[in-house]
Amino acid sequence: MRKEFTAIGAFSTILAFIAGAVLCMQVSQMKAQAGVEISAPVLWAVEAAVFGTAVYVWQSQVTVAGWILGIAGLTGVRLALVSAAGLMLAVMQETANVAACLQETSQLPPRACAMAFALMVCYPLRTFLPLRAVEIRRKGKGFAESAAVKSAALGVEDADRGLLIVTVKDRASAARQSPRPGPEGLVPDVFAAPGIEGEIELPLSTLLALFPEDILTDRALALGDTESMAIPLEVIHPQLKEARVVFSVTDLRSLLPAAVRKALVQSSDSDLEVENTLVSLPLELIVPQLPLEVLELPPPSPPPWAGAEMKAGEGVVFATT
Amino acid sequence: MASINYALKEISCKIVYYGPGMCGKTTNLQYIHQHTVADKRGNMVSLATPGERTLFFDFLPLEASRIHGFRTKFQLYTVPGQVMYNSTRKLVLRGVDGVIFVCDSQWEKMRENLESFRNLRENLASYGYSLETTPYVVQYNKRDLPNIGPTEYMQYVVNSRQVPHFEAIAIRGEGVFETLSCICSLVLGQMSQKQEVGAV
Repeated sequence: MRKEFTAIGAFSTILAFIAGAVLCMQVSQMKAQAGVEISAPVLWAVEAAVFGTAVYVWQSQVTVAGWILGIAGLTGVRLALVSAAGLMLAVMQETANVAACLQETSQLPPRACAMAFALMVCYPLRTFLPLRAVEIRRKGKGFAESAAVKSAALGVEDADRGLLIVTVKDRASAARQSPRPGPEGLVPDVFAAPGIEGEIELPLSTLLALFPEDILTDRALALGDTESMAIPLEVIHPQLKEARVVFSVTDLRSLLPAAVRKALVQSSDSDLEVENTLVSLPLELIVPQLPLEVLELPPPSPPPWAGAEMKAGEGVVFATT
Repeated sequence: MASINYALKEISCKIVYYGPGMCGKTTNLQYIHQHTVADKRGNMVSLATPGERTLFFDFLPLEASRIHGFRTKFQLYTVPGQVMYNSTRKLVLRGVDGVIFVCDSQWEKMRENLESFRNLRENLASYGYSLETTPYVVQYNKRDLPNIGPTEYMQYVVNSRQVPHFEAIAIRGEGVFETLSCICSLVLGQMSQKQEVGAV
C-alpha cells in the first residue's frame, strides 16, 4: 500500500535538512588530510547513481519521469544543503566572502555528508513520486469453505436419514476465515464481447457516488448533476450472467465524458490501489434498459428428470387447512 | 435416496430447500407447517439463532396423498444460507431426492443467488450427484418487495436450463405449495421412471 505524507514526515524532513546543513558546515571545517582527488564529472556521476538507486529502491513502480524527478529533487536538496552550510559558515565567520565559504562546503567530505542528508530529507517525500499504472489482478476467492462446523451423520439407513449430530467448533473464527466474496473478489474481463450494439445510459451522479472519494473533485460532482454516462452494451453484456456489472476505476474513467474525466483527480496522481478499486454498477439501473434479446435464453435443454413429472390426476396433494 | 417400503406400502423422499441467507427457506417451511393438517405432519424442528437465522437446518416431516396405494412421506429440510456453514449445507444434501432452490428477488441479492446456486452444484457434486440427475425447481421469493429484479433476468442468471420456476411470497404463502407440489411430483415421477426402467 502506498504511504501517505504525514506531519511526522514533514517534521523529519525539516529536521534532517537543518541537521544536514549544520553537519556539512562542521565537516567543511575539519582539517582535511591529503586524500584522493576525484574529478567533478566522476563526483556528479556517482551522485546521480546513488540518487537514482535510492529512488528505485523507494518506489520500484516509479515512472521514468518520476525517476528523473526524484534524482533532480535529491540533487537539488543536496545543493541546498551545501549552500545553506556555506551561508551559515559565512555568518559564523562574519565574512563577506560567501563564495569562498560555498567553495569550502562544496568539497568532497561536506558534499558526501550533504548527499547522505539529502536522502534523509527526501525519504518522506517519496510518496509524491508518480507511479506506473500497473494492473493488479487479484486472485478470485472461491466460495468460502466453512471451518465452523464439524458434523457427523449417523444412521444412514433410509428411515434414519437426516439424523445429524452436529458440534460447533468455532463459529466466530470461521466467520473471519470465510469472508464473503465482494465486488473486489474478481477483476472482470471487460471489453470482451464485441458484436452487441447499443448503450446503457446511467445518471452520472449515481456513478460518481460509487467512486472512491480520493479521486472526486467538487467540479466533477457538479458536472455529475447534469451529465449522464453511456456505457456500451458490449462491455456490460459479458458480466450480466455473473449477476453483477463491475469495473475498475481505471476502466470507468475511460468511459466517462471527457469533461468529467478531466475534472477528476488524474490517474497519474491517484493511488494505484484507488485506481484498481472495483466499482459495482447498480443492476437495477442497467437491466431495465436492456433490449429483450440480450436476456434471451437458449432453447430449453431440460434435464432427463424434467419429463418425469407425474401425469395429471396423479399429482401430489397435501392436506392443507 | 428415496426409499420405497413395499411391506408398509410407503414411499419416503427427502426434499431440501436451498438458497442464499435470508431468502425465505425457513419461511416456506413455516408456512407449510402452519397450513397442513396436524395429523399429516410431524413437528417442525428448527435450530435457529435468536436473529431467526437458521443455524443448522430446519426439518419437517410431511405426508401427502396416497399414490397408487402408497403413502407418500416427504422430509423437508432447509439449509443455513450463510456462506460459512457450507459443511452443514453439504451434510443436509446427503441423500437428497429433490431440491427447491429459493432465490431472493431483491436486486442486491442477485449475486448471492448465483453464488448459492453454484455452491449447490459443487456440494451435490461432492456426493456424486448433479442437477442433471437430481430434480430441482426454482422459486423466486419476495415478489412483494419494491426493489426486485424481473424474473426474466433471474431466469437468465440462475435458470438457463428453464426448469419449472415459481414466483412466491412465502410470508403470505403465495407459491409455497405450488413449488412443493411440483418438486414432489418430479421426484415421484423420476422414482417411477426408475422403477419402470428397473422392471424392464
